[in-house]
Amino acid sequence: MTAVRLVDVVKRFGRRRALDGLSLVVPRGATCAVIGPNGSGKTTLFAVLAGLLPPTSGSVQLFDAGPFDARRDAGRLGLMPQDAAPSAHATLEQSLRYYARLAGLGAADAEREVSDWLTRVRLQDRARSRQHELSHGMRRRFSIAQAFLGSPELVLLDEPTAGLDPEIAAETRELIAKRRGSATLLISSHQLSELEDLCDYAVFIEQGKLVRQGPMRELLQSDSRVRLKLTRSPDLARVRQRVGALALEWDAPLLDVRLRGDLPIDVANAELLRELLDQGVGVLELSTGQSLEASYLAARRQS
Amino acid sequence: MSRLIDVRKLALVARFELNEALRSRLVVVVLALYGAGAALGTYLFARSLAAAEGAVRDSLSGTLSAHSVPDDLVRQHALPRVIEFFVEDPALQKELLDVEPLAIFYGFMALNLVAPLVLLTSGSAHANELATGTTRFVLTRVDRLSWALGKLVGHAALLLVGLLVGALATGVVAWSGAGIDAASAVWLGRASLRAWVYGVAYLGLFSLVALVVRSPSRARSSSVALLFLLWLGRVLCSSPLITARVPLLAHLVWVFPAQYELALWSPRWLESLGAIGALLAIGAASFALGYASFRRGDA
Repeated sequence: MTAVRLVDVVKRFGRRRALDGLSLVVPRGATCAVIGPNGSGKTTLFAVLAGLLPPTSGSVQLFDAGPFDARRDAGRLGLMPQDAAPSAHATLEQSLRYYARLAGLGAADAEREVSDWLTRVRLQDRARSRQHELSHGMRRRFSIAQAFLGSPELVLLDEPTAGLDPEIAAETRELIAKRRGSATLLISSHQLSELEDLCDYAVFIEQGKLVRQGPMRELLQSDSRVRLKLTRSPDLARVRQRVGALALEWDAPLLDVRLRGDLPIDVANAELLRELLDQGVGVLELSTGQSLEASYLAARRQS
Repeated sequence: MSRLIDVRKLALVARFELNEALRSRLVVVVLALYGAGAALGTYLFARSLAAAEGAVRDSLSGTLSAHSVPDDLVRQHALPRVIEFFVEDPALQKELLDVEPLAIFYGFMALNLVAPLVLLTSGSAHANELATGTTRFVLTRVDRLSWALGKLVGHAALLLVGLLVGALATGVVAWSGAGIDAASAVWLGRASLRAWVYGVAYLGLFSLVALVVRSPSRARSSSVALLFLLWLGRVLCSSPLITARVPLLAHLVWVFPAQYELALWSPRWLESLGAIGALLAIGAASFALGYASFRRGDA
C-alpha cells in the first residue's frame, strides 16, 4: 500500500525544470523526510501532490487512486505550505472553522476540532485575532493547525519549523511526532537532525531528480555502522579479525567500523568492545549508524 | 450540475466570502459612501423635482387658480422635464412616466455607479487569495470550480447588499421628506435588482481579469483599463462613421453591457428580460473564460 507514487514526473516553469523526471514511492503510514538543497524541487513536489500545480508530464498517484482530486480527496490531504497567509479579515477561529467545514466536517465537529487544534498549537488566546495581528511564528502554528484539521490521511509539511524560536520549534516537533503512525507525513526541512529523529523514511532530491530513497535505518546504516570515540589508537588488524569488519577507519579519536550484514549489530558491538578492552583501549562513546547529514552528503557525492 | 459543482461547498465559500468582504474596512467604507451618496442624491433630486413642480404650478396658475391646480396635473407636466435629464430616448421617456420618480433617480444612479462599485469591492477578489497563498489552504479541500464560482456568488450577494443599502438610504430620505408609498418602495426594489443584474455582468468581467492575471494590483489596473476599453469599444461600434465602413462592428455592440442599460430601464418586462438575459450571459461567459484559464493553471 502506497500513499504516494510518482513516476517520471516533470514540472516545468518556462524553460526551467523544477521536477525533472522524478519517481518515488512513499509507503502508507510512513513519516517521510524530503531532503534537498534550496531549489531542488521540494516545494514544487508538495504543490504537485496537493493538486495546486499540474505536472507537465508523468504520473502522480495518491492513495493508489490517481492524482489528487479535491472532490474525491477533500479532507484526506493536509498541506502546510511554506508561504501562505490566512484570510485577511476573518479571525483565526473563523478561518479554521471554514477550512474544517470545507474538509467535510459537520458544524459541531468543526467547532470541536478548531478549539482542540488552537489549544495544541497554543493559539487559543489568539482565536479572535486577525492575520495581520500575528507574528511569523504564530502564522506557522496556524498553518500547522489547519494542515492537521480533520485528521487527514496524508499531511505535507513544508519546512514546519523554519523561522520558529527554539522552544516553539521543539513543541512543533513534538506535535508532529505525536501524529506519527496516524497519518502518512511528508516533511521537508533543512534541519537534518530534526528529520533524523522524526522520520522513518527519507527521499533525497537534487535538481528535481530523485537521488536516493528508502527506510531511515537503511539510509543511516544503523545495522552496519558503528562509531567509537576511543582514548588511544587500537590495533586495527586485531579488531578486523575479531569482528570480521568490512572496513575500519581511524581518525583520532574516532574509529568508524563498517560491519558485515550477517552479524547482528548487538553481537558485533559486544565483540568490538571486548576486543578493545582486551587491548586496553578506553571507549568514551559508541554510536551506531551514520548521521542523516553524512548519508545525504554521501548520496549527493555519488549522484 | 451537482456533478460539476459541489453545491454545499459552493454555498460555504459564498457565505464565507460575503462575510469576509463585509469584515473589510474598505468594503464597509465604500458601501457607506454609496449609501450616503444615494441619500444626498435623493435629497437633491427631491428638491429639483419640487422646483420643477413649482415652475409648472406657476405656469399653470396663469390659467387656473393656483390653489385648484391638482398635484397629479403638476407632476404630469413636471416629470417629463426631469426624465429628459436622465434618458434621451423619447419612446423610453414616455414609458418612464409610469415609473415612480424616486425609482427613476435611484435606478439611474445605481446603473451608472455599479461598475465602479463592483470594481472597488470585488474587482480583485480571486486574485487576492491567489497572490497571498490563501488558496493553498482552501484548494486542498474544495475543487477549483466550486471555489471560483462560490467567490463569484459571494460577491454577487455583496453587490446586492450594497445596492439595497443605497435603495434603503433613498427610501429613508424620501420618507423623511414627502413620505414614500408602497409603489415607490417596490419600484426601488426593482431598480436595485436591475442594477444588480447589470453589475453581475461587470462582476463576471472582473473575475475573468482576476483569474487570468492573479495579482491584485494588476487585476485592479487591468479592470480599470477594461472599463475604458468597454466604453471605447461601444463608442466605436456605435459610430455610424465606423459601422458604415465595417458593418460587422454594428453587431459587436451587443457584447458591451452598457448597450443594455436603456432596455433595463424599460418598464416592459419582455424588453427588460431580454436585457437581463444578455447581461447574465455576458457575466457567465466572462467567468467561464477566466475559469478556463485558472482550471488547469498553477494555484
